[in-house]
Amino acid sequence: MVFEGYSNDKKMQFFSFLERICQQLELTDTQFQDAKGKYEAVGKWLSEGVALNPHGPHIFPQGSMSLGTTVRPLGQDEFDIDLVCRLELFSNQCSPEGVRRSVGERLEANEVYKKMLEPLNRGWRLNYAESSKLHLDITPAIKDEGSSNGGLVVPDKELKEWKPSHPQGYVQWFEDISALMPIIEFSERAAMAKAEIDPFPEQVVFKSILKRCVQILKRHRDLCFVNIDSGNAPISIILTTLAAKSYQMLVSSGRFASELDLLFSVIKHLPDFIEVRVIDGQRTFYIPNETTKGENFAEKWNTHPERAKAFYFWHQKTISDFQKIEQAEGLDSLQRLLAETFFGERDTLIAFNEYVEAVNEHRRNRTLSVVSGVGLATATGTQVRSNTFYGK
Amino acid sequence: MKRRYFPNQCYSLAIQLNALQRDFPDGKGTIQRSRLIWAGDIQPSPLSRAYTTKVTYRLGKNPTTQVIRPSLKTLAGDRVIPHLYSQEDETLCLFLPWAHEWSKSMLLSKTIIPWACTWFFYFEHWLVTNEWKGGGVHPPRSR
Repeated sequence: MVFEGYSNDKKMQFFSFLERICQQLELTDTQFQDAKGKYEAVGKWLSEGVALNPHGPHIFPQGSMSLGTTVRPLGQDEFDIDLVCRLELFSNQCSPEGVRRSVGERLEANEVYKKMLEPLNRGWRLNYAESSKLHLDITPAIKDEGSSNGGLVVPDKELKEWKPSHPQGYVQWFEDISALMPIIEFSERAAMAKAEIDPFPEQVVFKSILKRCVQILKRHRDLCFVNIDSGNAPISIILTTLAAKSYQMLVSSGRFASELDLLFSVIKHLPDFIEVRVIDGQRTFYIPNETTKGENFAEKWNTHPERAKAFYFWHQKTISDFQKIEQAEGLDSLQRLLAETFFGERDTLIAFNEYVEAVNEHRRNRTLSVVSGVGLATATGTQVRSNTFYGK
Repeated sequence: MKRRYFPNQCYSLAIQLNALQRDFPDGKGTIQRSRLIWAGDIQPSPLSRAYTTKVTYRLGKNPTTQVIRPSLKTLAGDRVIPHLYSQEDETLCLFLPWAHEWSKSMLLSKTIIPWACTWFFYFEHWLVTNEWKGGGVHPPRSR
């Protein structure tokens, strides 16, 4: 088992680096509010159009933004904001392309949106000015008359048909699992909150381990496929679904030495939740969407076996990258490995710089101390007097 | 005698050693003639390396702090390491010699060891970033 050699202090410190980096990866509150303001304005514009008004268009986020698992695309400042535009009154009998077009036409009627508009297979993209660092992907959706649990269907331009989708159902499913409380013998987070001696970095508020896990996996995937084979990289919904299933199984069946052990186990067991069925001598992969009947997230793996291969390759690499991290000596090696394999240079650097800045803040305030066997700490121990490093 | 409570007191080597053993019990120290030698592992944080460090102090003189292992030079590659008195024998510059940051009326355990600890912390960060975030002063280069 990876991280067995880690003391609780090490686990806590490592876990808090992960936390700091994940905070760098995600949408900030300001960006979230900005995105919300923008999509609400789009919603208002759509509902004011004569053609769409009777359909009471309602825009809401789907995907990572509604799951709390956003990850900024690698090397970019821009976030993709995935939105659903639910339209009433249309039925499955309507032409998918017609419904898609009706939304596009209304957007084109606005001089500002017209310049930002870009067609997508399942909807439309609005590219905002660079300064706002986001674009909105709007997928029109209508009620799925065949669904018993409030599912929707969305137009697919290439396939010229309606595809089932249940964004709100998926969020509910994911949130329910995410809220399951694991049994943890040593909680890094509780330890950080309670510690009389605060090791650095200081306590930070964590979101669910499952959500952090998904963010870590997504960024590791982005980095893993940045230069090679990017078309075959496992899609986010697969990572999210497998992580949720793995978390659900582990949390309800066992206890864990620490949160880090749980995190690693969730990742290790991802492939257990891929169903492999042999049909006519052919291996077929199946990762069901638990909230949309008949939807297989791994559908494309069965026509593009290289995608399945890419998943297993990536998963192996994730495990071995964790093993390398466990062997790292010194914060410098740790920072290098986290940058190279998991998170990329920029976000790792920001997180580590923040950590150093936190130490400096305490040094300036004379609240930095050194404790034998712990190292730099606050509150207790030998206070660090002010000094000036001299010499070339 | 209450002499040691005067501001310009000079701590004896025995008091210095006693304080080191109290604050950093994992280290080992001896007094040989008029010289105190202390060696121990200093680890700035749980995931940092442990740096085996030797502090040599002759009563009333400036203490010297030398890293025994790991080799800082090896870690730094071909770069010049900031804030070292000597790149060769890896002695750390921990205080301004003329600014009274350190004096014989201070305990090594309250000054030199914690300063070395922060030095190692900034050193590991410098290794990746080439930036020394711990501040400090470089002496003017002689031509």
